Amino acid sequence: MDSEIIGEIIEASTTDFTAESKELHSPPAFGSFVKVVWHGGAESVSPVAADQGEDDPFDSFRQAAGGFGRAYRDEGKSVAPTLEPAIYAIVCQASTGPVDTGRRLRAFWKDEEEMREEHPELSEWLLVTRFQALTIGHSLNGTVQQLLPPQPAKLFSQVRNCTKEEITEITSRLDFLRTLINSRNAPAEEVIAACMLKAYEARNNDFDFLVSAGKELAGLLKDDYDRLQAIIRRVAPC
Amino acid sequence: MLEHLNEGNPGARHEVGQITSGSLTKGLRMKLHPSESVEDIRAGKFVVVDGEKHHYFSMITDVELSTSGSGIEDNPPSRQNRLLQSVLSGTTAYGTVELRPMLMLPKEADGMDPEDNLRPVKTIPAHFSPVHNATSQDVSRIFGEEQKDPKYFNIGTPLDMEDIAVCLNLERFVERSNGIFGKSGTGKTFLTRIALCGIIKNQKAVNLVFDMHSEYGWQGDFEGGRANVRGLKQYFGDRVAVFSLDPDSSRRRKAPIDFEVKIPFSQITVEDIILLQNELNLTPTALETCYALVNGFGESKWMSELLRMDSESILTFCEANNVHQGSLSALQRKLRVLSESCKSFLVDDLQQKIDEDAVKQILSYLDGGKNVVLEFGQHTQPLRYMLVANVLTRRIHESYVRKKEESLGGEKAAPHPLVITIEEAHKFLSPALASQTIFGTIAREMRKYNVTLLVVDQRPSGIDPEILSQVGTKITCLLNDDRDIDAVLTGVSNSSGLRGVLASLDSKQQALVLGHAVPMPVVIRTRDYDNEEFRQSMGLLPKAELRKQIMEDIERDFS
Repeated sequence: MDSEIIGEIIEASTTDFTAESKELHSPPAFGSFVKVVWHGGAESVSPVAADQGEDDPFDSFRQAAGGFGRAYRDEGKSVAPTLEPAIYAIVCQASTGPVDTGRRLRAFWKDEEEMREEHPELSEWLLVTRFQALTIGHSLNGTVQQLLPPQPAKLFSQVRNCTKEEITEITSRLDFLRTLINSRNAPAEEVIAACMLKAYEARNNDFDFLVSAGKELAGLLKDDYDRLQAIIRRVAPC
Repeated sequence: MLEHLNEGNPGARHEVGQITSGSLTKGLRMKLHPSESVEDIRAGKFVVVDGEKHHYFSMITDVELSTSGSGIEDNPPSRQNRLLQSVLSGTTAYGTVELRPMLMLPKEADGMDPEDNLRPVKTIPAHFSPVHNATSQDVSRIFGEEQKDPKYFNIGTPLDMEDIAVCLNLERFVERSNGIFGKSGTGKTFLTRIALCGIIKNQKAVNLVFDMHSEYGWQGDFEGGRANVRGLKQYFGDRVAVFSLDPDSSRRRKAPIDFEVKIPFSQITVEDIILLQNELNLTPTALETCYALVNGFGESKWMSELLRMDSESILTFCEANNVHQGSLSALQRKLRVLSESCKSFLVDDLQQKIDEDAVKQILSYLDGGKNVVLEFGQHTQPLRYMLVANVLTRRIHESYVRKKEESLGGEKAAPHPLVITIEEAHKFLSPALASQTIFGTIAREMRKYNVTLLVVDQRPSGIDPEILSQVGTKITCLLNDDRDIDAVLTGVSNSSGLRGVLASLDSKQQALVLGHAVPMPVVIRTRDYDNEEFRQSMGLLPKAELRKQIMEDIERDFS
């Protein structure tokens, strides 16, 4: 059962993507795990997509782009996958502003009620909430690969929140922490602390998870004790 | 998730870490596995490094706390921050363990007889080789199994392993002189009893025990309030004969004895007197005076004659033999002290005929394969102990040399290997005396004549280093004094790692065994002496069965 759609990709690269939030002022939480159902190149096509072939809206696109259609993908696929093919990412930035970035907004000095009545146009029509997410891996043949995907997510793909099970599966290995530490587009310590807490929640507050994630970080930050300490202090349960 | 390597695979060996660096001469360094507590790693523990081509059987010699990050030592995590502490321990702050590889066994020899394939370490395992706790199988592969071969004798268990025995190879044990060392009260006597029981039970040699404190023959004390423990006689019955210098003491202790020892003056030689030079405070000229007396009166009478001399005969003798009068008088005074001090067993055979020569009796027992324990009773002063031990041993030495030479000539069988146990050995084997006393000779070369020593001592630094380096197997309980530790490790290659192990032994029932009779040094928890299991392994019946048998015998005899 898929979770609710929360955004749509409007800009994508291998390492990150930017999406428009479905709800104004309500982007996914900072540090949360999101996914984009992914249909990569022919070599990485998953049987899940094949099984869902009837509904696959991208099938015709792929064929048009020189990929292989459903007929090929149905052959010899017997392993029952546990995860649908997707790109996983962690929300590292969100912002709300005018749709037209060339125009700056001005203050109205009114309360929320008055604003809604007097300026109904200042809603989804003129304003937009965007969020940025760092790609941490993708799933292929039902297993999570802690590698950047071979192709970036497609524009206008739907972004959804990851389920608890998916978060547990993704965080069963923590190689993505290195990707986050080295990211330049986001406040790395804050993103790591926030995503560790999300994973901790998804795992029903499993303290051992925090310890093992911390140990992974300690390995990565062995020359930077202060940074390690800063992250661990943020996630330490009271 | 960083699951522990050992989880989910219960049959596997327990991994404790990985080799990260090391050298053949300085030993290996292992990084402790993050899930292992540094407090479970103890000096002396026995571990196996799983190299690519060999298993390396190693001993832990040092444990260290290390940190890899800068700043952590200046700014350690607060004690409230449990998460940070858990995160750092095992990663940035971790345990490092020094290992000393002792033996290697090729992996291709798995399943073959390990005795032929165990080799001294000539190389080291590759980087990141896993290190495991030793299993019972490893221990039995190296130290042998009592059940499979009677030459192996259980003397205890490795540290932290209760279910497997470390065995001494008794054949090798009796080939060389051996030492049992340790501070007072660390269990030397118990260890010695266990070793003697092994030798007697498996008939690898006959024993002559100079039992200074009367602990080996009939029964001994047990520190800590328990009743007395059985001595060798109670275990082996007529295979052990108890001789006594002090029959009164034996009677008081209700300990049966087989023979009362008397030593005639005629048996005492100049060498015996020299051995006592410290105890009697003799001057160097006393030696010359003694030889003049031997020349004058002959070997068998010199002492009786000297003690009988009055001032006039001293003067006459001095003039005739060109001896200084003062020195002869001094020697006479001192030997009178000796004869007075030992009068209960030292007999002037010119005046009093003694029935049977104790030395001959002891020798005939030893020839018959019987073990002899010589109790000293009240005569525990070093003077008496040394005199008796030296006189007897010298005669036994002569006899063994003769027999061995006869056997080399093809006339007779070689004599039974003999193990002579001496306590307070530093008094006989001190650097000043070792070259002169018979014990020094035995320690150095008598294994060729089938005689070896079992030296029991609390002060090994007092023993001549030349002799210590020839000691085959050393069983060492706790020693604190640096000089003693140095002395014990004389003649042991790469001994630096063992120093720490030796100094960190428990004060009771723990010992480091190294040398000829074990393939590699090992720390053991000494086997319990005189408990039900020990009694049964020595061939005594369990208590219940024994009672049943006695009742049956009584019924049979009286019905």
